[in-house]
Amino acid sequence: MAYSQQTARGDYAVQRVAFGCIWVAAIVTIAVLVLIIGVILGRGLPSVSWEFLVGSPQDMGRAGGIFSTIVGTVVVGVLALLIAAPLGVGTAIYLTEYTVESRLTRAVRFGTESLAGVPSIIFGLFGFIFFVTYLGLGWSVLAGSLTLALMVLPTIIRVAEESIRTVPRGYRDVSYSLGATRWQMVTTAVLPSALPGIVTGIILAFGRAVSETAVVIFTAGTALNLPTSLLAPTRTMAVHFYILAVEGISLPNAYATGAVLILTILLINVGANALLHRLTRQRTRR
Amino acid sequence: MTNKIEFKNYSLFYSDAQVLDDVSLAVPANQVLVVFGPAGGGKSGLLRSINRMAELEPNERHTGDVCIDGRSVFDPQVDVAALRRRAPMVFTQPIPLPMSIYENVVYGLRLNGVRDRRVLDETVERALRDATLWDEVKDRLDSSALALSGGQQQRLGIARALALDPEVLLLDTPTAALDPITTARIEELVVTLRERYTIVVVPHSIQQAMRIADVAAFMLQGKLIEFGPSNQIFLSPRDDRTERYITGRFG
Repeated sequence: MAYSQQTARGDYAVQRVAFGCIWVAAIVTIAVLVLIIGVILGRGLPSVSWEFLVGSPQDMGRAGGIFSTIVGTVVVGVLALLIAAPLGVGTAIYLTEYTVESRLTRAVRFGTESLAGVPSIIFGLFGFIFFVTYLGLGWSVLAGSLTLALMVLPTIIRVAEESIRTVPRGYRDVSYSLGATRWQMVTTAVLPSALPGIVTGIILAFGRAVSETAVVIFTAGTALNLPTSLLAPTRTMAVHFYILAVEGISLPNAYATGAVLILTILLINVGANALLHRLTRQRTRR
Repeated sequence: MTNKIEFKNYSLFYSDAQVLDDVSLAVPANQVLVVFGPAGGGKSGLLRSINRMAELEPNERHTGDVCIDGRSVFDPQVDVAALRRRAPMVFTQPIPLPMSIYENVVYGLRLNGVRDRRVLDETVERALRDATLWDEVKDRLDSSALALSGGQQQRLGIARALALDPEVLLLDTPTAALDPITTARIEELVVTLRERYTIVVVPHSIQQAMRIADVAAFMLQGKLIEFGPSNQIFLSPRDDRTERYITGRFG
């Protein structure tokens, strides 16, 4: 007999060890996540109150609330995405649907990947030199958003491209075979299927944008008052947290700000997922 | 009788690979043309040339001409989208789009800008009845097409094409992924639909080819080896290679 009827006992041992390793890796990952969120929330939540959320910062943030930084965070983050998402998704559509692989597409892809590897402080410096001083935007919501948009652009392009590529080729064939133009094919067959992935990418990008400090300090400033226009400086929660902690102004308030930041990101995640769920459900109805 | 579809010395290339080599044939209206032969013979390329789907391949080139109703499909004045509405295609794998059954059927109409609810509703019922799917799905038109069985999905694909009220129907091995009973239903369907459409089919077996063909074309390595009425091709093929392929002694 050429083959043994029994699987070697060693093979099962290998399987058990491999499974054990994978299990440990998964548990460690979750544990680290829970630990981080737990520590921040545990230290921060006791200082969070309604007054803290809606009050203005007083005495450099030693007292009062963080309302202006919540507004600053949301405005800067959302504006950055409003700039980056159309650009990023547009680039991804161009790369996947409107060109064949060529020197140009490789150059664009290489460019975005290089951009993704650039440290954020470099983006901050660039934003300061280009938007803040050269274009004369000053430390402002707009300069901050533009710089953050550049920073998260690669993430959006990458994720959008990946999710567009996973749309089955058959969808494109069917769409074309029933008389779709290329644009109709993209909008009716490809994008709806790629949407969940694209939205995930945009959420990721939002998380990166609102948790960024270096870029924002350089480009949007650290002003504690409520931003009144796109050209007014502002301070985001992440920057507020950083300044409170590093300058030893108030650690309890720093943690409280961190807790609110985490909750904000969680809230946006859950909200976007719920929205997405509703959208995809609607599509199966008439 | 006028010819519905005509190939005139047509050759097709994808990049450097020659897919079709100097193919000439003509199909009268309301006939079923079966295009058969071994894999890689250019059957799909032939189908895809009729509605210019072949152009979607990278670096596609062609020489010669393909005509529908005597008019070249490559005429610069031809609107490609409109051409594909006249000659839609059904693929080997059933491909339901991830939307409701109703939306799948009206997909082509919506692309064409049809909004009238009554027209859409009527088309859905007509197309699904023609594709023999209506009775199975009429109570759940709003549910996802992804929940249908493979055979139902393929008939949905046919309904989607029929909804366009086409002139030519292109079926590329539509039953290859289906069980024998569903296959028989689709074959019956093809024979019935011939009354209204000109149909070009790549069959998934010689037996199927014999059952549904009016005219048949045997393709081998991009060349049209033999073309003629189904009886003649399958009962007394003139070319030795055709005969060997039909009798299963091809090697």
